[in-house]
This record gives sequence, C-alpha cells and structure tokens, in this order.
Amino acid sequence: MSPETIQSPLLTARGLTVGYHLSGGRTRVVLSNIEIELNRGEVVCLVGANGAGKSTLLRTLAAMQHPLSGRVEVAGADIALLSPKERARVVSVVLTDRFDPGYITVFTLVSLGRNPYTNWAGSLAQEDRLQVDRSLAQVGIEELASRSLPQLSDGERQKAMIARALAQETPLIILDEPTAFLDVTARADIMQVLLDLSRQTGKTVILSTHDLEFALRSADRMMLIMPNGTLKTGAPEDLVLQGSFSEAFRSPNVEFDQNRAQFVLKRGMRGKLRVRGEGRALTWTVHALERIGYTISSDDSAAAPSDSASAPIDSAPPLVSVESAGDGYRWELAVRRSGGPVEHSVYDSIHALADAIRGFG
Amino acid sequence: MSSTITSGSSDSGPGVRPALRYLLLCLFVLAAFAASLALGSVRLPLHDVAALFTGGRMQHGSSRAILLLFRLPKALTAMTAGAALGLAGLVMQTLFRNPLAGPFILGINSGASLGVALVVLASGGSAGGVLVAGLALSGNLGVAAAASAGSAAVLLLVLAVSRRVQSVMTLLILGLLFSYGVDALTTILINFSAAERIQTYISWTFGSFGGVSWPQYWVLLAAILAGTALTVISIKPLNALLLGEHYAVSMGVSLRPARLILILASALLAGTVTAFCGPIGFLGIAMPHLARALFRTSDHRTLVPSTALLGMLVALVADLIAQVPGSDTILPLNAVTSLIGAPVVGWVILRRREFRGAFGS
Amino acid sequence: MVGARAKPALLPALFLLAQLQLFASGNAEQAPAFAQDRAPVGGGAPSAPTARVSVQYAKGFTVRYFPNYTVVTVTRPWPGARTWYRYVLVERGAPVPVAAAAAADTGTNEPAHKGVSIRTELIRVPIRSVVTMSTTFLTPIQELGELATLRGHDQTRWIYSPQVRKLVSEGKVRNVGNGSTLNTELILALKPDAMFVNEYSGEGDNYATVRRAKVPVVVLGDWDEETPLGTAEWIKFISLFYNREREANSIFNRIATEYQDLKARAAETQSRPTVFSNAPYQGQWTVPGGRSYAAQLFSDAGARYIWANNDSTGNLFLDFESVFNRARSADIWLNPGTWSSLEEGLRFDPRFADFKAFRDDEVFNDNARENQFGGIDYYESGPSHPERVLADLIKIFHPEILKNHEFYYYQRLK
Repeated sequence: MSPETIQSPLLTARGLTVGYHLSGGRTRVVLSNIEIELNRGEVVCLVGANGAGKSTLLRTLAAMQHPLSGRVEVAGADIALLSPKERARVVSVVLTDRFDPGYITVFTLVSLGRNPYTNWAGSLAQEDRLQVDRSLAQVGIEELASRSLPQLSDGERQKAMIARALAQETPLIILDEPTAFLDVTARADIMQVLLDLSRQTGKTVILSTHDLEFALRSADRMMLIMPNGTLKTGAPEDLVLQGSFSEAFRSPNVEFDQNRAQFVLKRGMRGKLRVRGEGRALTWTVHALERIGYTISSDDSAAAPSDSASAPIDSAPPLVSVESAGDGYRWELAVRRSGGPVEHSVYDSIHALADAIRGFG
Repeated sequence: MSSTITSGSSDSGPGVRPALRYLLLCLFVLAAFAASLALGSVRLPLHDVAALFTGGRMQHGSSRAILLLFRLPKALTAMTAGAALGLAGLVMQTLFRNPLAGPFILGINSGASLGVALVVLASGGSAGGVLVAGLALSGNLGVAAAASAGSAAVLLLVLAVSRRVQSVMTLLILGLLFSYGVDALTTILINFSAAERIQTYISWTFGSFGGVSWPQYWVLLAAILAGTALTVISIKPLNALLLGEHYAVSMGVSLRPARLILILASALLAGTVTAFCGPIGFLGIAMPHLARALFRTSDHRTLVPSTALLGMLVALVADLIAQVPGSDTILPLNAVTSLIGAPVVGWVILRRREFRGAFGS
Repeated sequence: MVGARAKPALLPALFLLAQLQLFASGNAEQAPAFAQDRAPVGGGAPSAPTARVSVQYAKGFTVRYFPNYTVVTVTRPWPGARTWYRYVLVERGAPVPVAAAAAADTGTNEPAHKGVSIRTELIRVPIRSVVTMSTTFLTPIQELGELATLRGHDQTRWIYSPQVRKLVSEGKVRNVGNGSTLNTELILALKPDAMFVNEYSGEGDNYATVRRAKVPVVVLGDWDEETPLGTAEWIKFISLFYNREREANSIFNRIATEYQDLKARAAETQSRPTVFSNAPYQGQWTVPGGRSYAAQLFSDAGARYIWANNDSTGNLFLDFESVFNRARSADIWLNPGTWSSLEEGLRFDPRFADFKAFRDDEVFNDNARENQFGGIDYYESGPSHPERVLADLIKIFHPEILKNHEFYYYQRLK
C-alpha cells in the first residue's frame, strides 16, 4: 500500500471526558481531558490495566454512550448528532457481548452488517451480496458461509462478527477485546486478520487488547490509559521511550523492561552469572537464568576462572557455557567457591542446570 | 481473493427445502380448516359441507345456518387468533431475548382480565343479574370493549415506563410485576362477587373461538392485520435484535421507535385476541419454537410467515379437540392449548441438541 | 295428589295429636292446652310446636316426633351427599329429655344407613335470632311472621323483598358476607340462635369457625329438590325452628292446591308449544336436563321441553351449535340471561335473530322484579311460590287460559 497522503484525520476527540452518570446527580469520571487524533488506515491499540476504562472509552468513541463532556468527530461529523443509521455507516463495532442468535447462517449474520444500506425489508441487493462475499473472503471464512452459528468455534464466531463489521462498510471499526475469549492460535489469527484488513481496505481499526507484544509489534498508534485517568497517545516506540509504559504499568511485582519491551517480574536478584554460547542456545539459556533471577553479564570473552594463581579470586562470577552435543546441547557450569578451586559440572538440560544453580543459594 | 457466491439467504439445514415445507404447512392448514367445518357437535353430512362452497343443495335443514353462522366464523377466528398469538409471542421472544417470553409477558393479558372482571363482576347495574350492565355496549361486544380497554391501559403504562427504562430486562420485570399487581386487583374483585358472576368470569378465562359473530370478526381481523403489518415492517430490526440491543443500535436500528412498534404490535395482536376470545395460553410461547425447529432458522424473514401458519394450524387443531366432535360437550380451550403446547415445546427443545444452545442455555 | 287436598282436614287432627303429646309427656310447663295461650318466649314465637308437619313432596328432609323433642334430618344437603345433618329440637326452657340428648350425641334414633355419616346437633327452639345465607330462606321466614328474628344475611344487596331491605337500611339486618368470604367476627358478634345455610359439597367446612363458636349451623337442602313443590315444602322445615308449623301447613297447602289446579288446567289444553331456555356464553350453552326442576315446570305448564327426553336432573353443558340445531324452530325462549330487551340480546350475539322464538317476539325473561343491584325476586321468592311461577308459565304457553293473570316474575322481552 502506498503511504497515506496527508488527509484530514478520521477521528478526533477534543477535551473528551468519559464516565457515568450515577443516581442522585453524581458522576463518575473514568477518563478526563482526552485528546485523540487518528488517521485513516491506522491500527490503533488501546491498552491499560483492567478496569481502567478501556470499554468506557471505546463505547464513547462508538457513540454507544454519551461523553461527560467534549465531543467525538468521525469523518468531520459529531457522532452524537448523527442518526443511528448515519452513524452506522461511519462506525461499526465488535463487542464482548455474549449473545446467542440461534440458528442463523454465517452468511445471514454477516449480511446483518448491511442493515444501514438495505431497504425496509432488509433484502440484499446485488451490491449488498457482493459486499458480504467480500467481507467473508477478507476474513478468510468463505467456506463457512452456509454453516449455522452454533456449529462454529469461538474463533470462527469472532471472525464472523468481524466480517459483519466489515460488511457495514464503515471507515472506522472499533473492537472491544476482540481476542478475549480465544485460545492462543485463534488470538494470533484474529490479530492478523485485523492487521490485514486495515492494510488492505484502508479502514481505521481501534481495538483494546491485553496483548502488549502484538501492540508493540503491529500498532501504528497506541492509546495508553495512565493511572491518573488521562490518555497518552503516540507511536508505540514513542510511548516506550517517554517512559509512559513503565508509568502506566507500574506495579510492585512487575516492571516494564524498556530494552526488551517486556514485562519482567521483579524478583529478588540472586546474583550474577556469565554466559558463553551462540545463537538460540545462548538466547534461551540467558532467558532461563534471568527467569531464575540472575543478572547476566554478556561479556563472553572473559576467560573462565582458571587455576592460574594470577586470576583474581572471587571477582569473576560463575560461568555457564553451552555448546551443541549430539542431538541437543550440553551445559557446563564453572564456579569458584570462595577460596577453593574452580568446580566444573556438566548438565544435559536447562532444567538440571537450573536446579543445580538454585541449589547454590 | 476469491469471491464465492455462496448459498443465498436461505437458512434451512439439510433436508426438505423450505418451499416444500411451506407448501406442506399450507396443506395442513387447509385440511384443518376443512375438518373444522365438517366436524362439530352436530353431525352434518359431508355433502352439505362441500355444498357450502359449490352452492349445491343441502340435505340437512340447519346445515347452511350452522355452517355459516357457527363453524365458518369459528374456524376463521381460530386461524386469525392463532396466527396473531404466534406472532405476538415471536416478537416478545426476540425483543426480550427470552425463550419463555410470550404475548402476555407485559401484563396485557392481566389488563384485559381486569377489564372483563370489572364489567362482569363489579357492575351492579340496570340490566339484570349476571352479565354486563351499565355500559352503552352490552353483551359480548361490551366484554370485548372492556378487555381492550384493560389491555390498552396496561399497555400505556408499559410504554410510559419503557421510555424511561434503558434495559429491556428491566421492562420485562416491570411487565411481570404489572401482571401480578393487576391480577391481584382482579382477585379482590372476585372476592366480592356472587357465585354466578364468578362462574361467568371463569367461563371467560377458559377461552373460546366460538363467541365471535361476523360483525365482531371483521373488527378482530382488522386489528390483527394492523398488528401483522407492524410485525412485518419490523422484520429487519428483529433480525438485528438477534444480536442484542447494542449490536442492533450499532447497525443503525433506532431502538426506541423499534421497541415501541414491537410492543404496539404485540398489544394489538394479543390484546385483541384476548378481548374477543378470552385469554388463550401457550400458543404464543410454543409456536415460535415450533417454527424455529421445523424451519431450522432464527431468521425472522422465515419465522414470521411460518409462525403465523403454524399458529393457524395449531389453533384449528386445538379447537377441534376442544369441540370433542360427535359429543355435546366441549372442553375449555385453554386447557387444550396448554396440553398440546407444553409437550410440543418440551419435545422441540430436548430433541435438538444444537438448538439447546440457541438461547445461551 | 290426594295429600295436598286432604291437608286442611289433617290440620286439626295433627293439632289434637300435638296437644295429647304434650299432656302425655307430663311436663309441668306444658300444661296449657293451646300453645298460643302461652306467653311467647322472645320473638313472639309459640313455645311449643303448633302442629305436626308431614312431608309429602320434599325428598331432602324427614321429621320424626318424639315426646318432648323433634328430630328433623336433612338427607340431601347436596346431590349425592353421604352426609346427613340431623337437628334435635328441644323447647327453650325445658329440660332436655334423656332420649333427646342421646339422639343428639349418637344419632342412633334412626337406623344408620351404610356409608352415611350423620352430623347431629341439639338446638333450642323457637330460635329468636337467625342469620341467613340464601335469599330463598327469607320468604318463608317472612311469611311465617318471624322477620323480626333476622339479624344478618349474606350479601344483602341481592335481597329483593322490600320489607327486608327496609330492615337492612335500618341496620337491623347486617351484611355478613361478600360472596366468597364470611365475616365470621360479625356473625359471632350477632350471636344468632342459628344460621341457615346451603352447602354444595362435603369438601371443606365453610362454617367451621362459626360452629366452633357454638353457633348452630343448619344446612338446608331446599335447592337440591327435584320438584317445584318439593322445594316449596321446605317452609315446613323452617317452621320447625319457630314452632310455626300451623302457619307453614296452611301456607303450603294453599300453594300445593293452587299448583295442582293450575297444572290440571294446563293439562287440559290441546297444544304443546316447544320451549328452551338460557343463553350461550363464549360458545357454551348450559340448559336444564330433562328431569330437572325447570323441565318439570315446563311440562307442568303444558309445554314441550326440547330436551324432555334427557334423563339428567342437573344441567347439560352443550355448545351453541347443538342448541341452535335443536331449538332454532322452537316456539318459546325463556330466561335468556340478563337482557331486558331483544335489542340487547342482539348486541350479545346477532345469531339470536336466527331463532324462531326470537323473530316471533316470544322471548320471556324472569327478571321482571329486579332491585337496583340486580337482585331478582324470581330467585328469592320463586322457589317458595311455584304456583306463581307456574301461573306465569301457563300464561306464556297458553295465554288463552289465564286471561286475568298478570305476569308476576316474568316479562315479555320487546
């Protein structure tokens, strides 16, 4: 796809405050003073801790709920002022609502997305049918078209719902946790579908997700809900570098490692180790040792503690070396006990190695 | 990207094609209609029944009168009422997404009963002891008017409340509460009434298609046609509502007007039937399920006509059974519809595995 | 029937017997020769039976006389009843004879019938106050001159009798029930000497609370009689509680005589117009059976009832169609429910116009005497005066006979 030329943004929100009206005239503010500007063709991930207000924000953007103040404009129009039918041509949604429509086919389900375009009786014109077929193909479920809904797996169902949203032909699609109830493979599948469809159709897709890795990998833009009830938006990398991630996900047990764009458990540090090896074996050995709680100095050029008297005593951390052996690998651990000689031990699995290292204390 | 045109909008599973099913259904309805004309307490020669349509001479002196004055309006009333109740039940089941919903779930039935109770039990008036007095219209028409007034009153209450209520579940609960409250008022009335009047009121609660004369039938028909028209124009929003209200709104359905029309349709259909025939139970709940099972779909484009046809058929059959042809006695219609309806629904729901998931059970 | 005509002659004889009885018992308090000479014991009622009653038409009660007490047994409180109600009547102020107490306790003065349970109660007569649960009792009580004993009635708005209505409006007769529930507290406060009620089945005891409070509950089976004269004869039953047997005999004899007269005259006519009754509701038409009370009236009045061949003494539950089939050419239509005019009937159902009787304006309803609340005299005094009903019916069926008779209960609908 050619790079987007500069166009007016698809969705803007200014001074938006979202929340609820409670009984007795009180209000509960969930997020305040939000400024959003999204362009066409962007994949936007909304992340935040549970209960932080993702659903509230999405519902407000989709006009399923009124903002406490401010407004949302999509394609230049204030969505609160549009009629339901006009709105349906501008934004479509995929929600977490559980429902059971009973015995309808996938084709019928997807064709419901054509509601804003069909006549009073809901009959499908040629154009409508084409659009439905296209949506089915886009999402990759053409062969499921005549299956009935109860027969589908969760993943297939979700795809059908996305196809329906697609068939609605809106420039904006909003999805609330589209992979929430899916298993790992289905999850990856759905995410890929969303990416593809945005790239191929130029639609703006906003989705909330807990899958940070995916967001960091694939999102054009992220919206991050901060603990103080504000929203930070930007390219994922920008948000990382600004430290927003760490701030958003601050917790006593976990911290966001900016280098590796991962969450790591803040376990107590057990000590330091040096690791020597190559390729995959090296990567995963380091992974295991860090998981146990060791800091790795990646200096693999340091010499193993030797028996030579000139080597500094106790200064070099133990060394783990990994090398191929037969069909697998072999690990060697060289430790200098205080004041003693270097002990070498050999293990044929990370499991055994880890057990041994843990045994050190 | 392939664009496979898959099986169009038909939702039927494998087996007999829907067109054939419709045909069979129509044939059954015709057969039941013919049986209703031919069978009854008085034994009429079949020749006379045929002669009604061919214009031939009748053997039995009273045949023409009996057929034209009694059996024909009764059969037509049964068909009209059966279709009306089925459709009202269908509409309520979809609106409230509840398989146990029926036409009387909003308390319309209770309102009608209260109206009739007021007129039958509480009137002291000038025209004599047992039945209606004090109304300009007395007799059956008076009872019908009272029942309609009662239904309308409850309906207005329900509509007033539904404007302020967001969730349709709340509306359902309120409707049930109305039923209980209004039934309580009726019980109080019964408490203060003479035995013969109570007997009359109880006779009314048995339900009957036989109390409708020709002038009354045209009024009934007009109301049912109006209610059916409202239902037909709601097919599109009904299908959208299969996914739940949030999705329906997101696809462009204006929820408040749609709800209003559906409630109005149900009130017209069920309220008028109750006014003229007394409260007839079970048809409204059972027929939509039967239609779903026979045509294997939840698509209202199929359900609306099929439920109507099934309603006609079952009402005619129930009436035939209640007539106990050949003997002079008649059974209460309500008892027969319940005895037919309950096992049918049970069979349908238990038999179809995939169907059990149809309402998220 | 012979008995009816011989009644007046029997009366003095019975009277004499009663006096002999009293002498024979040797009770000092019963010394005066004629009961009316005695000072009345409250309510003005005589303090001893004034005559003996014998039951000729009624099948629902029997009377047995003993020295110093009378036993009256209700054997048909409702159809197919396996319970009898027995009342041992002892004069107020007199000591209870041992035999009477025994009868009241064990009910063994009569051979026990298999499978029947007998509920017995001892009641002091004459009663000075009574609460009634049916308007049919009001007419006998009034005609026996004991209206002053009436203290309460169930659903007073249905009462037709102007005299009783006056008492109601003066607060002397209280409303003790509203149809399905009984105001037991009020009844107990009124402390009546007896309650006259109808029971319809043996299931459940509607008057348990009242009985527990020691108010005697007298169950009458007048409504279950199969013949018009049988029903009217219950005035004798009621009279036993007031020592007004003489009046009862006199009244009933008049009624029975007149009834037989009328019946004989009707039998002499040549024609037998066909008749049917009641009206359909919601497609169901309930008509009296061929051997029912109503059917007998029709036949005694010289008409032919459409369902005369039927054996039932109760009601037949037919449907509109069947009745139409058989009655569409009948001559007379009686008691079509609540209409007061033919037009009203048409509003109920336009199909009524297809009945010959309707077209010929031969529709008569029993609601000529109706109070403003819908209470109809036909149901109140009608059962006690079958001769009036018969006269009305004969006038309907054979207008040429009773030219001078004015309709009492019935009216022709226009």
